[in-house]
Amino acid sequence: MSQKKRESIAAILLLLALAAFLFIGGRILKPKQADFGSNWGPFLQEAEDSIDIMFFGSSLAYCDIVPAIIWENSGYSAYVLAGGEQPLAVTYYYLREALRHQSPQAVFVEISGLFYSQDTDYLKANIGNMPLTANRLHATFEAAPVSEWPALFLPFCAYHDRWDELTREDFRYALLGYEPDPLAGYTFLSTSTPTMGRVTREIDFEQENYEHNLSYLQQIADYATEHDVAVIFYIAPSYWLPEKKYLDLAAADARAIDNAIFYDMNDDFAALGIDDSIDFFDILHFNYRGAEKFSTYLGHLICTLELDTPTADTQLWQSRSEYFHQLAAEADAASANLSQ
Amino acid sequence: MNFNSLQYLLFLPAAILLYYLLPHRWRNPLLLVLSFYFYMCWVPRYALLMMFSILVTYFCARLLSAQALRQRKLWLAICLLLNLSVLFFFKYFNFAAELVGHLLTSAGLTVAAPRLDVLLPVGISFYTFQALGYTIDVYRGETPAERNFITYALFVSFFPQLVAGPIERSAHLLPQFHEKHSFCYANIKAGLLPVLWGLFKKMVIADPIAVLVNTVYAAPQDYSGWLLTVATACFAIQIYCDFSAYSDIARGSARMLGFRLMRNFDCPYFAVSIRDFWRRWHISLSTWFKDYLYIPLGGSRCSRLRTDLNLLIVFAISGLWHGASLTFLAWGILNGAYQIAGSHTLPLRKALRARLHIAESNPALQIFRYLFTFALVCFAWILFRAENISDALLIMHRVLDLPAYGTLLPRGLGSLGLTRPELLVIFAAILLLAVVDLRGKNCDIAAALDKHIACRYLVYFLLITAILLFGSYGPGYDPQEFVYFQF
Repeated sequence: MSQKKRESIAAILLLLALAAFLFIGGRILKPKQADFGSNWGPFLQEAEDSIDIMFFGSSLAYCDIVPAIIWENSGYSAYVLAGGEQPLAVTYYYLREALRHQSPQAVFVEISGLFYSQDTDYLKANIGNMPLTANRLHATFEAAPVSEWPALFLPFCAYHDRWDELTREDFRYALLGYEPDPLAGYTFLSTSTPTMGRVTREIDFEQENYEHNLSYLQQIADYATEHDVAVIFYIAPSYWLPEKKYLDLAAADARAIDNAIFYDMNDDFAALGIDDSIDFFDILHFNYRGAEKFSTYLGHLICTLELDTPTADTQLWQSRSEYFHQLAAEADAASANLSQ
Repeated sequence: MNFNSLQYLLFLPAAILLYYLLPHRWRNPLLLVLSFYFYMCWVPRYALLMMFSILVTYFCARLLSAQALRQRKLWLAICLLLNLSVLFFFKYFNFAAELVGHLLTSAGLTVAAPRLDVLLPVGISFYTFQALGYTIDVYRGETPAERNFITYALFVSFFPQLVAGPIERSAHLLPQFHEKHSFCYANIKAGLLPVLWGLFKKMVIADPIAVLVNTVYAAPQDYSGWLLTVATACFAIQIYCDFSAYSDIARGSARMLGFRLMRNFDCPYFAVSIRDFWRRWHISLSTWFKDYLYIPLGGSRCSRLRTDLNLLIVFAISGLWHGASLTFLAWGILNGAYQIAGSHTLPLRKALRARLHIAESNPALQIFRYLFTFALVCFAWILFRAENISDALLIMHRVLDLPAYGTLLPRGLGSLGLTRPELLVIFAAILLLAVVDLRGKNCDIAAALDKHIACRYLVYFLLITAILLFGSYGPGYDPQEFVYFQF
């Protein structure tokens, strides 16, 4: 073999080895995310077309909605696929990607993402945990600042400094993959913070950013409708809401979107039966008790929508329901011990 | 545009590609444009200063090459004056004004020293010295004056060595711009290894270890003698890895374009004396000072006292070349004093060896010499790294106060900003560096690797993966500028 040929083969092998190193290394080094949103790993382990209702949005979705309780109260299987402070451009590509794997009858989109800017701290997790498909590329180009692109394309380089904190779990997840999430995207928050009523949340409102997000709200509705999926936009119940003028603006704009239903869950806050002293994790999010109450309410609401018959695997959802109640009982016992 | 930036990693291949794609006559203009672009990535307006230096030295060299001796002297003096004035203005004005202010204050006069609020142009000392070296060579008749302005401008501004050397000699580099460089894979191969090795030294050793050094030197009063000693030894390694990395990347980049730059380091920490150290450290600057200052002053061909004085002058100026501060001046003078002491004690040491029957080639003696020289060099580096003279004196005092080691606010290495695994990786990398340097003394590692294609590619793979995994880059890191950029 000529020297030139040997050099060429060696150079190609080097490039392949480096690509493999970056790919496998990136999987190992990337922080594993099975809760607190951006939970694509566990989501992709769900059986195809097994979810009836999907929830998208920000932490107000993954902290406040318990799919097992929704199933208990409606019979519909549900899943939360949200991300911390997620801008709606990313939510739109979450929806597109999710619909490649599931065929839900309805999607609920929590719309606080209208106020989030494109370069929040969570963006790396929001986009970086998506599967490597065209939707992820679109989300990167449309929602992430250029400075974040290298990190989103090459997770290895973004997380290489984690090499000295790797655990066996990092290797296990990277090599064997995620397991299905028995909480179906819900993040169990056990501690309580007593709240003292509503407080105005200061937001850095930028008209251009808001309109950019709003355009994606329309695209979400259009895309869901194209796929014969009912769309419900909602403002989550919370004690830490933006100024009324911003809420009214968001509500009016969401209502104006064709082919979508809009609910401001704060309008019916009393019906949730929330106890201010024990149902909040913090002023923004419910803990497991508040989330259970809100999910019961949502389950009843879903029953009023004209959806097809549920397709949920009863045995699976029964076990998920039991799992949630077991965690809740343990948390109840722990808080009882603490208060003694 | 730092060598360890993504920008440069894109710039270099693009430059190489364009260079070889263009017809020969367009290559030098292309390199000139690229070199100015490279330089203007820092502070664009300072390219005007470089252009001023190029214009002055180009025309002075043309004029002095065609004149009688007396007029040649005049043109040389004008050239030196103009170039050194610019250097003085940007680098030494504040220092000199401060010094004069102090002197006047101590003489009882209250004068507010004027202060210029200007940034030091990157690489000004390097390109000024290279341009002046050329002018002196032309004056001496050792190099013909370059007629082609583009070629000459490129000689001064050639991007691989523009910002931190090596300070090239006209007789070595200028003729290479007249040669035709055809694309040759052997050049790419020969250039790639130093570039990777340089990046490894910079990103895996120098920048991470700088965290430890910066932590200690930011508040030396808080640290015990042994931690100050460790930090100083670490600084010795940091500055070597940092500066030699720049030289390696410069040589590798130039080689890929078909140019050969001089070697700037030759395993300096395996020197057996301070004199030997200066033959191995920043060779291009040491030889510049030897040829253009030490020898014109009389060198060693004069009285003992005059030779000692010449050495002190050269080292003092070398210290000031590094920075406008008393610490650099003291660092230079201390190195000069080491050399003087070394030459004065030579007969005594020889006699002692003979008396103890220790052969010159004794391995234990050799190791002792390495360690003793390293200790002396490190002691001098304290002046180089300390923020000011009083910090340097405090550190020197604690380092020398062996009985007090560990009693002053003792802290472990773990409190210096690096985790234990990070320290282990740095330690392993330093060991590798020592092995490579030691092996490199006797054999050409690159040539040896060239014979075994699998080994060579394995080395590429290991270096790249080590840089990617352990290197200092990306979010959360503050990549350090190359230390010698400030000179």
